[in-house]
Amino acid sequence: MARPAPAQRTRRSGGQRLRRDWTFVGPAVLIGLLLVVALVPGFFAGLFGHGDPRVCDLYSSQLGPSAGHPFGFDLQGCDVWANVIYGTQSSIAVGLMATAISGVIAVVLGTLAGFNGGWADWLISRLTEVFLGFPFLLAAIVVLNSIGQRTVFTVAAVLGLFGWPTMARLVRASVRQVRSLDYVLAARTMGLGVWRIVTRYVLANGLTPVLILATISIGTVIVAESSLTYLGVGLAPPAISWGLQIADGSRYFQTAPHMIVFPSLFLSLTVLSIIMLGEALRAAFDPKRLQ
Amino acid sequence: MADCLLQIEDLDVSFDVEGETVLGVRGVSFDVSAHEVVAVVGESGSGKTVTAMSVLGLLPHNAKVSGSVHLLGQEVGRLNPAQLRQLRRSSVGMIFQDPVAALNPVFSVGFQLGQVVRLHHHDLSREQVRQRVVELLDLVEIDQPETRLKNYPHEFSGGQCQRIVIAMAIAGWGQPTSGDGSDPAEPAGQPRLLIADEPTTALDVTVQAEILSVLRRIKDRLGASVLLITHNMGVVADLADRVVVMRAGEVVEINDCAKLFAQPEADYTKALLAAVPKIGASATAAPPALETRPTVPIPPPDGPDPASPAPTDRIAPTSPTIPADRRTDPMAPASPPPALEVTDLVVSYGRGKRGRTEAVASVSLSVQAGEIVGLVGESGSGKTTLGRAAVGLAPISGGRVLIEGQDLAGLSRSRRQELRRRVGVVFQNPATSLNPRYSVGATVTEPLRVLGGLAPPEAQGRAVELLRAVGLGPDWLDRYPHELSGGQRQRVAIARAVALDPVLLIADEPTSALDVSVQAQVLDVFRSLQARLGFACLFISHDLAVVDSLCGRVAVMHQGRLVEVGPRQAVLQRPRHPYTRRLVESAPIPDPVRQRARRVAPADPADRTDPTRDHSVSS
Repeated sequence: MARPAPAQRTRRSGGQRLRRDWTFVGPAVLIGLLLVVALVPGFFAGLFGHGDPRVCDLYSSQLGPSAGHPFGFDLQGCDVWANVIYGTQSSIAVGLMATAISGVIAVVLGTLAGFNGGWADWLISRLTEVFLGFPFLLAAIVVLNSIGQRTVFTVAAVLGLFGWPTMARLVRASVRQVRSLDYVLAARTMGLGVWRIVTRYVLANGLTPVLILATISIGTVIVAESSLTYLGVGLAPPAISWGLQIADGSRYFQTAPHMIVFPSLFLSLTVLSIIMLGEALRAAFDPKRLQ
Repeated sequence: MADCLLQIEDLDVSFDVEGETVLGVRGVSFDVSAHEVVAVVGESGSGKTVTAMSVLGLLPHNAKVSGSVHLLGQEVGRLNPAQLRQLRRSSVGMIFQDPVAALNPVFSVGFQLGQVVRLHHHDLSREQVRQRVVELLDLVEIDQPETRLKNYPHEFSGGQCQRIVIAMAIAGWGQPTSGDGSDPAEPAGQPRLLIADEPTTALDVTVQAEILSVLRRIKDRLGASVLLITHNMGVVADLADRVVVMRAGEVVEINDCAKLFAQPEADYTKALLAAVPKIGASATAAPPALETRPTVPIPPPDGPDPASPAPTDRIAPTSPTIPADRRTDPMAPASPPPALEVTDLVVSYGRGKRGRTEAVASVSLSVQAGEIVGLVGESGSGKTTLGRAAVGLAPISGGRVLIEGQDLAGLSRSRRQELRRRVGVVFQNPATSLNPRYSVGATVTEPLRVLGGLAPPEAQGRAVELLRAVGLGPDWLDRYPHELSGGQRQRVAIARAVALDPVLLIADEPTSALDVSVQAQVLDVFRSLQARLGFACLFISHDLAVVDSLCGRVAVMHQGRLVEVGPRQAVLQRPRHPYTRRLVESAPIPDPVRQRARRVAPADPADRTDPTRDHSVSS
């Protein structure tokens, strides 16, 4: 009865509202750009100089920005700009892959637990709690230390395998909530199959909050990867990554700050825009605002 | 002016919703005199709540108000917040729709009432406050107020909670005729206004009748005026002196209550009254739909789409595309088995000895093919559970459910699924019963494609047919549920439920979330569909009048048991079971004369209010 307006209310959907919101559009443009950079790093790296991150000249070691080399040179005399550009690739790859892995695990387990209930729910919930009780970074350090070859794939897999519990909890809660709604009940009374009900009715309506959390978790994973790499248990030298560059640069911060500032800047901008994007999505799809 | 308590003149309220101006009410003028009950009636979205909120200055921040509201001679819009609070607490009380939500669950009732009392009378001692709270609870006829002070809201029933809310609303007014001289009591006859916003909508009919009589007695004793906001014409007839009819933000008619019901002036009022189902009205004469609408530029909140054809288009009883052998059961002899047969059904929830509650206790009921059986009962009577059990959605702990002579429990999973397809279900709340991600077309074609095995174009054709049968044109196929009004959504839900030509339809309060005029239309659609498709129907409802207008037989449930089953007229006109009698007597009649006559000779609902109890407060 508290509906204030008798006239037809035009309800704008979350998507429509997003397009007018600069807190969404700004980060979205930036992330789009970074994705392009990650896909074709060669083009961007070559914008100013030779653009090959592996062509190094020890004579240029630690030299500051100069013509053709806007970000200067690192310890080995490699071009920092090219390295930062190529580093985008591995950071974003790790972020996307790890989130995809944990997302799939979370959706499968969370749906099993939330839709069926009973012993499956009990088992999965306890499993989730065990994983949650384990410090995420500590677990990753332990496992990564015991892996010999550390590539983008192994790091992403490890981060993904430890990152799903929070998301699985959200999936479970969301599925449980949607499961008891009338339209799911209606689908069940119609005699529709379980697969159809789960995909078309439950997940189609319950996955929005999970997608938003997943967006934010891409940022967290990128930070985690950099931290692990800095600590020496993440990506190893043949790979190019912001974490490695920050680790190298940190020792020469006073003499050659450009070595650490530029990769750090890229890292912060990426993570910041991903998290801002997630927040904007969350605000736009907030059920209270959609009322 | 002296006897005019509330004066609303040319009130305009509009809301700013994300940069767009949405009209709330327009040009509303009426007044409330002392000791008068004025009812503001209208369907949802007519602006009646907005009007009440502007009286209290409680509109949200995005509201723009013009016009004037004079309360006790003071212009509400000109008061500062402190003055407004003072005015509200000393002479206005508000009663809300949901009594349980209006009370704070973490404090005891006595504490909450005490707080309000103390707010108004700072100088009272602890004992005096307690006394006053007991007095208040006694005033609203709560039994044993002294012992119930310490109880928390969840320990009271919905009706009792509403009484407490009423007590809270009047707690700030000085004592009525107090024997306690220490209280700074205002002189008797001090003008006061009680605003009741749908005070009984969330309550069962028997409880509603009690609350209405409590309200009436309080008003008489305290000499208050009441501004009653409701959509229920029965409640209006019971309580109101004058009626303001609102529609789409404007006042359509202001009339004396008796005159309004006898000779309504505005067309809209006439249509509204005609749409109210009445017990005893002939079932064959369907109430006319609200076709004649006054020319108001604002689009109606609901109603038949002018572009869509009337719901009388033909639809084949059995579409050729649906296998015809569905009706002929292999073991069907000359007389077909009942569409639904429930024998000794027990549904219980919870585990262990203490936690076990029987929602349905040993119920036997049958619905013959092509028959509409009304299942009536109050909330918690188990009627919804019975309906769910019929489609296998409730845990059956005893007894059997047969659909067309086949037991759901004894079948394999795939056979059970198949049997379920012969049962359609319509749910109460159209807002949640449609998948928000499906367009109307997808909603209706899904069972046809997935379960009926139709190719997409055929399913599409049949969906258009079905939608036309429920009064929606083919241009609705691409709409999504959030674009539809409640009535339109319920039509889509009905179309989906009958898509597979079911033998049995279970309709769980399909119209109780709808406005009366919309309800009348949906019931019409329902009636004509049933006549054409010939499905059997278990129609679950709490509204006796709706059941009376639709059903052949009526079953009455009370606390999980079936107390009476019989032909409609026998059950509703000459109820045998005392509970049925009480139910019939509590249902408010939308006719002030008959209602008054019934009130003079009340059949006392004996079990909740003690008839021997003396209600006088002054000791």
